[in-house]
Amino acid sequence: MSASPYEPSPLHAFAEWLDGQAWSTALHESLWVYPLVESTHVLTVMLFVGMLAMVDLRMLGFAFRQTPVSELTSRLLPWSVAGFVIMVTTGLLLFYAIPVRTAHSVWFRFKAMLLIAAAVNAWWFHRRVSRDRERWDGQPQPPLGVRIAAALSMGLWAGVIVAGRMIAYNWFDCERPQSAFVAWAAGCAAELPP
Amino acid sequence: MNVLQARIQTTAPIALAAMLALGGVQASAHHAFGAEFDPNRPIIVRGPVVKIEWTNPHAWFHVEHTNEDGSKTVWMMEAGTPNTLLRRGIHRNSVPIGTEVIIDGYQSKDLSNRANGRQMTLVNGETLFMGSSGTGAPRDGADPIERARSEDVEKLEEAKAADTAQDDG
Repeated sequence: MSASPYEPSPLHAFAEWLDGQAWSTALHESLWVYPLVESTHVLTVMLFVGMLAMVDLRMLGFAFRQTPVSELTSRLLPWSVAGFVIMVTTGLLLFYAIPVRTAHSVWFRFKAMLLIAAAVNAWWFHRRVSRDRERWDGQPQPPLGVRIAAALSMGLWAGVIVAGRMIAYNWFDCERPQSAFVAWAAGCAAELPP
Repeated sequence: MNVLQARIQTTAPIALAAMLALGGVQASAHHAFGAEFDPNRPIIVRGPVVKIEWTNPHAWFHVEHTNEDGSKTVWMMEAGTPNTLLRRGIHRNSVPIGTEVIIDGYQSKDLSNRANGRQMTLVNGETLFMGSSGTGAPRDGADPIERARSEDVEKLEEAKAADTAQDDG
């Protein structure tokens, strides 16, 4: 071990702190609870993104063209809220079970960026685009701004699902030899001090 | 663009994403032997177990090996799934942290300090097969199921030879 100073990132320190908790290890090593949490996460992602996709397709003018947007959203909203709450809870539990590897996963980092982008898109939609909703609520094909927001929402969530799926693979894990780019993107230096 | 075309164009990416998402919830580093480990790099590590990860799809035993120059290297030795090990009577506390072990295995192809563990030997001479059967690992005799199978094959061949001998007589 060389004498060069090693300063772990706050994220790495936080992940290490979580990793040191007995409940984190217990959840990860549980033969039944971990797979149940993982499966529930996938199923509720389907519920949430499925509901979202129907609303997005309506706003793109592809589905339920004769149904007002507000009617569709009010009917689907309870389902997507239920899906969202369980999806987020199980997602946090999955991170809690494997904190260090996940914090240093390039896929997880990419997924987090896509989630932030999806959240910004949703916020921007509610703030700007849906202000004059009454005007286009019943239109079979809503205005371009609405359609762009809907297309972005679908694209970003599809990306979130693919990136989330890829977290399972260990190609870019820090414990394997990695290119300088991957080592930088995954913050491997923090996990493997010189 | 007609409605059907539009439907197909919009549903295809969703279907693709769903297929990717549901292609089986598979956890990290689940693989055939040849995808990850090199049969031409057999290794033996010896030292105390410093950490155990009792996780799917593979349990990992971290062993601190002392090198010839006196330096120490922690090797991550991959085992079978917790369930395979449990069925063989090995549980999480069978080999407590600090237990001195010798593990025969094969190093990973990327030459990192990870290896596929095959046979674990304890100081009292007891041996445990810690790997998985049927992954394509070299037939090194570590796997008792594989040994049993090859014994069957030998018996069959002996029986055949005996039959042939009788026919000749």
